[in-house]
Amino acid sequence: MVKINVYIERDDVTKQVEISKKTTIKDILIQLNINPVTVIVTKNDELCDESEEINSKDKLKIISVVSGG
Amino acid sequence: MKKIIYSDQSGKSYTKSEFIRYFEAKVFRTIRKYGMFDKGDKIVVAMSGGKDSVATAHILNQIISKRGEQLEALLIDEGIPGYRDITIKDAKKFCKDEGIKLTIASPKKEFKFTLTQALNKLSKNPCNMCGTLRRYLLNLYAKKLNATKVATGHNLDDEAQTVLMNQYKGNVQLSAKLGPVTGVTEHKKFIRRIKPLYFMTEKEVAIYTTLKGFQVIYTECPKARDSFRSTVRDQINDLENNYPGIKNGIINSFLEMLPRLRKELAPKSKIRECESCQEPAAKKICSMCELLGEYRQAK
Repeated sequence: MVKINVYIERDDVTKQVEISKKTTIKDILIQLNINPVTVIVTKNDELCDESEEINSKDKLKIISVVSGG
Repeated sequence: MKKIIYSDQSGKSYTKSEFIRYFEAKVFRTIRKYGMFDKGDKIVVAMSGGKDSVATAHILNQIISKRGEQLEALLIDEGIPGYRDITIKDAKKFCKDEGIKLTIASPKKEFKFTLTQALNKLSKNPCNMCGTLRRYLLNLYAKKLNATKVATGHNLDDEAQTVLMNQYKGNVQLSAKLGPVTGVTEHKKFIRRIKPLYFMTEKEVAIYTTLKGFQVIYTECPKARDSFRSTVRDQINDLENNYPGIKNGIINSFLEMLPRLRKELAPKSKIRECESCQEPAAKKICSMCELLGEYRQAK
């Protein structure tokens, strides 16, 4: 198990998350208790699907899509 | 290998170019299906500088440059420091890049107060007060700009939330005013509103604006965080996550009921003119003039 940093833009915080070989973005969102319907995720500054697997060198950013009033 | 950037609720996957094609084609279909444009229309986009209005203006600009109708943008600066000032910058940049004329109207210019000042004086729900100010100024300035239609960035999430909010509060008559093209009845002083993003989810709009590289902030209005809408929004998003397709279900069933709802409620929803300002109103005095009266009387 290794840990990676995940930046959550809405709260302006970086959290550490444990990943294994087959961890996907969706798994990370579940670990962080974030509803995938409400966010988009970039990996190394590129938009990607939640089914995508990640490795220890990846930079993840979670962006909330909720806006307006 | 194809890089997948999005999978929809049915499991269909899209690459970047496939997603942009899917998104634009679906918006074009909505515009055609609901006859949102008429020949010679002058469309004014209600611009906030957020993702929804930017996506709406960009797509309309593509269509209008081919068809010859006119397009302008109108931004209502209600005066929310730390929020609207950021989106105004984004709106100005976007409109400049797209060659769209932008007009900015505000309660400060029109009535000599901002939303924040009014909220400090009156103990009212910020979203309701903001809605009153924005709707009034949007219609007033759209007329000044000789608009024949006002395009708003309302998406599938916004509409599903409003439908359920009206159900929960027993205000079903308000739902008769919803739909891809709004207006239960016509009135010469009320500019009809169109919602080209009606069938696009909030997430799809965010993906589209990100892929297109538009400079927009994905943040919620600070005044709206504890609103009834945000509670309903969270409920719908939780349901959508567990039972994909819920949002489409809400809207599709609503659209099936809408013609009957309008027929039933149209006689009760007659638009008249406010006795004070002569703008369209549901009552003798419009909500804006009521608010102005309360503000001036408050100490």
